[in-house]
Order: sequence, then structure tokens, then C-alpha cells
Amino acid sequence: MSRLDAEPTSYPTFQASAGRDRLVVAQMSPSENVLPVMLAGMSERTRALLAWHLERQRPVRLAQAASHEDARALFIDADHPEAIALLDANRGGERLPVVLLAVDPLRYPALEPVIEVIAKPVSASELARVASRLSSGEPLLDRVDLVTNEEDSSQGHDTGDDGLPAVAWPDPETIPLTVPPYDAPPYDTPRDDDPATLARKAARVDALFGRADAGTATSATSSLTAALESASSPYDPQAHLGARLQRELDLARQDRQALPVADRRGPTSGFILAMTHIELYVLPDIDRVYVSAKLGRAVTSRLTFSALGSDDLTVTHYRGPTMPVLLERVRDRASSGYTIDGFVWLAALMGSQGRLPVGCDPAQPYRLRHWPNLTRLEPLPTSIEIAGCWAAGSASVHEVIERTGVQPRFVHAFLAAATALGALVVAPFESHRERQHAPNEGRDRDLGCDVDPQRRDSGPDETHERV
Amino acid sequence: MSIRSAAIQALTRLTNVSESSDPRVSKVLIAGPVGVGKTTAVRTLSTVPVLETDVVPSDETRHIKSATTVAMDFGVLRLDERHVVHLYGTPGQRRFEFMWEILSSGSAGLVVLVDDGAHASPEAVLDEYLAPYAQLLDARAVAIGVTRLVRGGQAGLAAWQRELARRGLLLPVFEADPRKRRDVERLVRASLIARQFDAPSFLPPDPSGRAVEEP
Repeated sequence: MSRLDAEPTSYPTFQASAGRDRLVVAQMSPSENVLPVMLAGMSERTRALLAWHLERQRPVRLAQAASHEDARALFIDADHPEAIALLDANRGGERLPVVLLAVDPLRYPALEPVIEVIAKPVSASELARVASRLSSGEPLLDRVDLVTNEEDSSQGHDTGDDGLPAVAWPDPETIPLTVPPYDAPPYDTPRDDDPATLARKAARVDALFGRADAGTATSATSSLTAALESASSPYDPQAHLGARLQRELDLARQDRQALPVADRRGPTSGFILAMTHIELYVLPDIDRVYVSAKLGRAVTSRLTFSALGSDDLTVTHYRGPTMPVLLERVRDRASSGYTIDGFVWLAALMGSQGRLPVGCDPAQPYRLRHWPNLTRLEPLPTSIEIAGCWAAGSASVHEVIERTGVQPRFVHAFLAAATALGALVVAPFESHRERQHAPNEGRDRDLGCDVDPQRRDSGPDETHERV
Repeated sequence: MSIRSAAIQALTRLTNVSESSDPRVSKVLIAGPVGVGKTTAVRTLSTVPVLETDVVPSDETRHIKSATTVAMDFGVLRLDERHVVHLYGTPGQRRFEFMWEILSSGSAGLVVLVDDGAHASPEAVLDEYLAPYAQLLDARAVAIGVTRLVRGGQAGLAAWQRELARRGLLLPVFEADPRKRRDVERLVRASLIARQFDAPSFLPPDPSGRAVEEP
């Protein structure tokens, strides 16, 4: 019978004690590969899930400490209301090494006695890593540092190893992510909406994708005409914020590769893109772009995503010892945040405004490499139809407009945003023609999709191809 | 004919509402491992009270949740004025595999929900939950919803995409929260979209313009 069967309601509750002499080196009974740990400050569901995972850990198994056992570590759910009180109690009492569970682990600093911050819901690999560390016999907490930190904090601020102020991670409560847009109404499925709401949605669509000046495309002929009209006023993607962001991201990633592995814990580099009306704080390591002003305002949005002049934007990179300065700016000034892909997608949509990029041939075929994560990106009307059409095989902009019957501005916007993410790439004219003449050739009958033989074994690249 | 096979045949006929019987009605399956959120997804989308077959679990599932689906969940989604989707949530346990076969009969689409925080690798999960639906795979009528996707999770969205690409599959892979209507509805739409470009008869315009009556 498992522990849960035997003691369904006897979960140990955390009690802070005044003892400060606990050995902070976790040790394991050699006779049985079981390391007792305490689970506190978490919901019953989280506790049950964690217990379920713990039961399956091998070769070293973590188990909930019974009342007579000394726990070697304390697991706390960082998102639980009691988490802070429990951490304080532990800090002032038993000083057990703490393992924090958090939805976004990189948002919480691993300041002692926290030794690990792992993602919720926990995965087997994360728990195995924690179990390995707890059972390694290495000192988990440095008592001298603990005292030093207390003295520092008593003076009003913490200091890092390099003597610079240690800045806490941006607080997710105060800097909410704009993406995922859980509450954003889908443009393509309006239901039970009042006229004002519909008008706001239409205005938002116009702001993102340009006005449908060519009229709604109800036939293939009118679609093609509209496409040609739109193509006559192309835009230069390189002159917009999205392209500049991509260039700086590439630089930051190269910079990170040059950094020693030992120094890569937490965000090690980032940069600020500053304009007169807004600052963007980009932290590639934690996949976030924070902004200092709400982009939902039309004026802010237009100023941010219109074509940039040579001196409209200044870039400042931060790395290593200067990172606390950037993190402090984020904490003090950021009002909302995006994932990097979410911001790149949005910037491409806003830059495109439903237009084709300069030099883009509407007859040039493209192929879809992977579907964009359409549930977590700025909604684009008929994006599923457009992506589905390109997923069926390589096609040109003209062909997609013709086959889907959607407004050209949406196809153009999708092209701009999907290429910015690397989800859509140029396909050779030759293979496109071959496919048109022999539609079944190249189609994998067993697998039911078009497969590029060269890509069959490799899968999508980690690095995005740019068009 | 044994009682079991007769029951299976009857159940298959009962749940086989394909476009051949009514072109305005599609049948979409929601499949995936235990505890991933299939029943929640059906509840989130359905515009009618959901038919559920939940019982208290007798296996290790009881550590995860207090009730588990043993036959199917059934709900109805109205996609637009003319098109209604019958949603069938499958049981997650392998021992109910016979229900997967029954429910897949006549299906137009398949949404596979996978748990990024779980122990199993993308390869193992897709092996188990895609293989039984070869016909739907061949028609590319499948969408993958990755739930509990957090930083530091098991695989991340790209890992699921890589595993699909390794199998030569270009399927929609979206992050999804089964409690969010928008997420699940997009998955259902994405699972049905491939047929639009393969089969011109998909979603024919209804000359009468009448909405389909919900059951």
C-alpha cells in the first residue's frame, strides 16, 4: 500500500522552530534510497500531483516526511497565499533548504535558503535534478552567506556577488503578460456583441491590418485585384521596429553563447530599445519583452510601429554586472509584457498594416514550416484558414487569396508576421510548379502530408530562417 | 455475435454522426492522456449540457483526480450559423482503447491534448495517441493542443513540433488551456481546416441559410 493510501490525510504541516543548528547538507539513508521532504504551502491538488511524481522517482526517491522523520528539504508552492509566511518562518526557524514550485520559475530568484526554483507542474526531469542535488551530499546552504545576506538586508538593500545591487525578478503580478490574450475577443467569431463592441473590434482590426480600402473580397477576381492594389503600396520591413528587434536579439544571443556556462544562471544579458515615447526592455533569456507604455493606445501603437528614422531609436545592451541596472528599470517602469514571439508577431502585423513588403512578388510561392502558436499571438482574422491553405502545400500570395477567399490585407499581414517568426519561408518556383502539375508527387501517402525529404529527419530548426 | 461486439456495433452506429448523414454536422474527437483536460475542454466548448461518463477511478489515476471518463464525454459546439460540431471526449486510459475505435468512426477531426509537464516524452505520447487514428492523420485532420506549457517544462512547443516533423507531419500545434474557450475552439477549427483544401465539399453553403438544430 502506498504512503498516500496509508495516510491520506496525514500530510505533515510545517512548523517553524527556533533551532538554527540544523546541518544544511542533505543526507540520505543508505539503506533505502528515500529522502524525506516536507510539502507545505500548496493546494491539495498540487500536493497530490507532486506526491504522485515523487512516488515514481528513481533511483533516489523523495518522499513526504513522516512526523518522526527529519525532512531534508521543504517544497513550497510560490503561488500559494501562504508561501511568503512559510518562507519567512523557515528563514527564522529551521532553515531547511527550500525548493520553490512556480509557474514561471525564472521569475523567482534562488536566494538562500531557496536552493531550487522549478516549474509547475513539475516534470520528472526537474524532480530528478532536485533529488540528485539533495542526495549529493554537497553543502546546499552556505551559513556564512546567510548571515551576510541578513546583514545586508538589514541595511536596506541586498548586494550580489559583484557588489552591485541584487534586483528581484519582475513581479508577474505587477507586470502582467499582454500575451496570452485570454480576454481578447476573437475577431472571427463575434457572438452576442453589442454594436459598440463590434465597432471597437473593427477599429482594432483596421489598426492592425490597415483599412479594407479595396473592399471585401468576395470573389477570386476581386481578391486578386485587391492584392495587386495593395502590392502597389509596399512597405519596407527593415525600416520598422520588428527588424531592429531581430537584429539586436541576434547580437544578444551571440553574446550569450560567448558567456561561460557557469555564468548563465538567470538572465545574463538584455537590452533596451528606447524611443521618445516608450522603452522596450528585452530579456531574451526569459523570453520576455516588457514595455513602459501600453501599446493598446492607438497613438502609442502608431508611434511605436511606424517606420523608424535614423535617430528615432537608441539601443543599450546590458550584460553580466550591468544586468541589475536593466532589471531595476524593468521593475520600476514596465507596465506590460509580451513573449518575444508574441511581440515579433505583433510588430510585424503593425508594420505591415496589411501591405506586402518591398520586393515581394505575389506570385512567389511560400511554404509553411510550422504552424504559428495561434492561441497565444495577436489574433488575426482567418489566420487558421490562411495557415491551413499554406499547410496544404506551397502556394503564392495570389493563390492563397484565391483559395481561401479572405481579404488580401489579412493574407499580407499573415505573410509578414509568419515570416518574421520563421514559420513561413520561400519555396522554390521549380518545386511549386512540379507540385501543381503532379499534386500527388511528393505527398507522403502514409503520413498524409507534404514532406521535404531533407527535413524529414531533422525537424524544424531551432534558429528561424528569414525571408 | 457476442454481446460485447453487438454492443460495440450499436454504440458505433449511435455515435457515428458523419457528414454523410448531415453535411452541416461534423464530429470531432478530443483525445489524449489521462488528466490532460479532455472533459474540461468539452465542458468549455459545449453549448448544451455535457453528457459525461465519469466514475471514481480505481487505479493510480485516483492520485490525480477524483473522477475519470470511462466511455466518452459528449457536447455540442456551434461554430457558426450553419455549422455544428459534435464533440466526443475519449477516455485516456489505454485499457479503454476499444472506445477510441468506436468513437473515431465518422470523425471529421481530432484534437489531441498533450501535457507538457508529464513524464512521457513527446515521442511516446504521440505514438500512443496518434497511431489509433491513422485515417484522420492521413487526412491531416488533427490538431495538437499542448497544455501546462511553462518554462522549464518537459518539452516546450518546439519539441512537439520537432517530433511531428520527424514523422513527416505538419500539424497545427498550439498552446492550449482547456478552460479557455478561445484556445479549444481554435484547436477544433484547425483540426477541420485541412479538409477545406482537400475536399471542396467541406462545409457547403446552406442554400436555405437555416441554422442546424442542436440535438
